[in-house]
Amino acid sequence: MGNVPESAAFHMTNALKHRRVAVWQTVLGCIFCAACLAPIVPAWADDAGISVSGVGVAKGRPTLVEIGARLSGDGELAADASVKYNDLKKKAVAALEGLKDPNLSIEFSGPTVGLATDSAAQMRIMQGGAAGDATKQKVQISEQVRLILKDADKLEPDKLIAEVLKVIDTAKDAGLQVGSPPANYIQMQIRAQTGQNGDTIVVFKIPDRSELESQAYEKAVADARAKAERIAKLSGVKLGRVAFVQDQGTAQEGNGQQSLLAAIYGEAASTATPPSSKEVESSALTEIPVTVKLTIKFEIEK
Amino acid sequence: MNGRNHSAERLRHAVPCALAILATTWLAPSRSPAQEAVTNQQMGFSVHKEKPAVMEAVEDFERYREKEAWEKAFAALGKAFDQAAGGLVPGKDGFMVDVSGKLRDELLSLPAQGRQAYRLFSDPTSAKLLHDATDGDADASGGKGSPPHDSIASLDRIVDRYFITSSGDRAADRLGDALFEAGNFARAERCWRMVLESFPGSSIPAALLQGKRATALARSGQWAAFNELRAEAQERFSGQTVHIAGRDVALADYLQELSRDATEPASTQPAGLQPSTLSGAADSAEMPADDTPVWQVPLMDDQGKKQITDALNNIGWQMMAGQMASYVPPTALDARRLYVNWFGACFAVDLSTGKMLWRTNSFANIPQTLAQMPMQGMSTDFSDASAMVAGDRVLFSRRDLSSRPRNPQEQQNASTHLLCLNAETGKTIWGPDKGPGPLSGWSFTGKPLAGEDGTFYICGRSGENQELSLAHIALANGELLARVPLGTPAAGVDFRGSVLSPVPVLLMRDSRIYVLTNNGVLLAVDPRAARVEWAFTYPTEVSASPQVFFFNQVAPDTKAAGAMLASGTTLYFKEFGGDMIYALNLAGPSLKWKRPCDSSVTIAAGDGQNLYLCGTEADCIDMESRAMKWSDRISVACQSIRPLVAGGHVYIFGQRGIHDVQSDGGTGPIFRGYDRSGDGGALWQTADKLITVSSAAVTAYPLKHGQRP
Repeated sequence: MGNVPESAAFHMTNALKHRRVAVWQTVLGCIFCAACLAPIVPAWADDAGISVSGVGVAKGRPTLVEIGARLSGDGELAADASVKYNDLKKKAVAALEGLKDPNLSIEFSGPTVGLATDSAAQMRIMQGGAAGDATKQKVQISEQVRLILKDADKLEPDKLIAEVLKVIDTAKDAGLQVGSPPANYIQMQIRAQTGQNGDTIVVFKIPDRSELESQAYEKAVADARAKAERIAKLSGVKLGRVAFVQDQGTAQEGNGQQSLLAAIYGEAASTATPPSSKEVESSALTEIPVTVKLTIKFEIEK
Repeated sequence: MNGRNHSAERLRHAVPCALAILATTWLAPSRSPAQEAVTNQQMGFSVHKEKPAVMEAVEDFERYREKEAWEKAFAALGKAFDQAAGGLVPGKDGFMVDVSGKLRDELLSLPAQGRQAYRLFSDPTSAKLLHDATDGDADASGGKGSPPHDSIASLDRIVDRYFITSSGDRAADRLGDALFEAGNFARAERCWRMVLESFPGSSIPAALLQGKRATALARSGQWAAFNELRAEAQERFSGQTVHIAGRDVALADYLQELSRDATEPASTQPAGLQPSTLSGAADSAEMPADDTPVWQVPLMDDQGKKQITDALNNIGWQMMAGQMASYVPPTALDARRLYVNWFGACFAVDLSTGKMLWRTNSFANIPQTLAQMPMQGMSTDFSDASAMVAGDRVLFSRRDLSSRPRNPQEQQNASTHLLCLNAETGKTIWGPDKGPGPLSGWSFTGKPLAGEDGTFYICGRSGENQELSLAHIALANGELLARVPLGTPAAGVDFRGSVLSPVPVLLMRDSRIYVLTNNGVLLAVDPRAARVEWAFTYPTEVSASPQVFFFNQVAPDTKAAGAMLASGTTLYFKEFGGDMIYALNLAGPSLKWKRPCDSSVTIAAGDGQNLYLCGTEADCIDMESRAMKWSDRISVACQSIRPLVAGGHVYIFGQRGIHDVQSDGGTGPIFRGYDRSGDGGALWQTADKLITVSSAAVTAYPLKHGQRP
């Protein structure tokens, strides 16, 4: 090494150091990959048994119908906006109460006060243009309204639809804006692409899916056991106790195309109100399915 | 090396900057929104203004008046009087007044010393002129002698120029007499009021002048002002006797006699919306029992709409399809027939059977013609068309689509002409097809206003002249009786470059005709003197859309029609698509108040206490406090609504049916009806039917037997 120039020696030392680091990096990488891959390595890989997946679907009739609406009043004079908003609210409540439907209730989200944009400027903004010079600003008081019909499952579908339409007509006659206009240009495009003229204004709901979920779990377990028994019989072994269960969650069927488009554009698919964790909903009056998927591993009796 | 690096560095920065500037220049709109707004807010209608020299002379007068240099002041005023050509000069609060009134006001503004000096200079001239105008019979008794018949112009001149002289009160009194005899009660009352208010120490008894004023007010139906005067007279002139109407009578008794005829003139339905001939205002109304009509005349069916939409879609103007497909035709009604002006094809419908009695044109090609009009550069704005019934005649202003223009110039200048038909037979009494007459070359706009003695007034332009005139026309033969030049409108341009001309609205009140230009000016016209008395100017928006059709071009919002409503001594008005309501005190004239409102509503009715607005909503505004009392959302989407006002209800035909809005803010059930394809429109009521007119159909519903409209 004595003939080796100082700079070359330095480079060799460095190269050795780099090789050691590379070895360590490889080892650590392998450990990391093993840790990551561990959960997806099949259960049968490390022990004997039969793993199957079971699917359980339970359906229920919606018990609640929700109609989304909006009331607003605007004016260059804030006092005018207030008169319009208050009168509209009063009239809407009176008209809906006039239906004398004990199952109908009205929920207000609380008023918001802002500046109104005229429709032409709104369109220009939506399409990426300039809003224009607003010479006179208008104050707007607006509020989201939920019209809720309970005990929907106790009515025949035809009668329920008639009841819903009656509520919509009354709300519109009273001056409520039923449904909501597109919040932005992307929503408008989504609606156009999915062939919707407007928003979904009626949502059919099951407010608590617990019972349906229980039924779906029972069905999923039964489905899995049936599959496993069939495999065991064909394999000439006897099915043992459950060794492992993996819950793949519950799911509710929705509008795939709209959800996909919404996801692409980073938008939430619009509904009257976002469903709570216990709710299941559908835009169509049909039985709403709740699906449970389980992966179960059965031991083989020796 | 460093220098080269710096150059490269600079170049690296300069290139994106240049690109950004280019991109900004290229992508930026040709006109900024602010600039466009300024263009849209430009001045509208141009009235006839007085010559600058006159205004300079008035300014000289005011300057010398302050310095009490009377001789120079009167010389300047004399110059102004001599050069005045009857134009308008700026007044207060946006008013423009007749120059003679302005000069008289200047004279009245003189202090006592100045008045004395003016009398010293002008008394002899004034006395001589009065003597000449009245054949020397003007006395201080208040005109017991017989007034002359041909002295109005001379007396006008004396009152304008020499009112503050010693004989000014007598001149004004005699002018009042002459005007009263000529039937101009409103102006006569103003003359006598001027003596009472502006001529202290007049030798004419105040009780007599009040008696004369009361007579004029009663004759012109100004009962609100009459009652005020009566209350004042009872307090101030109790027990005084006046010589009036050829006899001596106690003033109180005389006023009592006059008040027996008191009936408030109809002020429920404003001009622009009011029925033209329906006898008597409806005092009650009721909706039909069910949706089944007694008859229906279809207008624009789905096929016609499709034809227009398809044709316009092909050229990218689909937005205009709604404009034509939602057009509600002007209609008029008499006791037996409904008259409709549908895109220039005029027809009459028998009210009892719904049968078409006659028509001027075939309907077959109308949708096709309409679809072709935008491509041929023809205006698709039919808002200037109208229909009016007068006795046994029906008058239409229309563009005849069957006579096709031969060249683009003719297309652009296609005129709206008048056509007078026999209401029963539909035969032409006079019109363009009877050969060139006194009205050939005229293009009319807006709804006519019925005048006295078989005449009517309508706005129009003559020849290539863009000036708008108020034409006074004989119904019998279409003879042009008089013409009052009003001024020049500022026409707008729509998004495809077509000219949008404002359509004026007329209202007769107290012998004056008020012309709402819908273009930033309201004019008060004295039709007898054939002159504009004053104008009120206000901000307006003249549409100046660029003549290009971008992808982000949007359809304009629904704009409500312009309308005027007179109640007592106040005139309420709102311009077409305007966002402000104005209340003018006509006695001044002065601006009483103004308040913002939605551009999508118009004045529909008034009941002396409240104004009722309707359009996309129904609003109630207190006439005095101008506060909004209540508001109700309704479903109107077209410009041409005609509400029905009856018995404390305002019925409005909208998209969802006929809304029943009550004067206390309550609402009745919506009558859906059979016609559910239109955007709403006009409502008429006869003795036994309710008639709706939409863009799609004319539909009649039976009312209960014996129901009174």
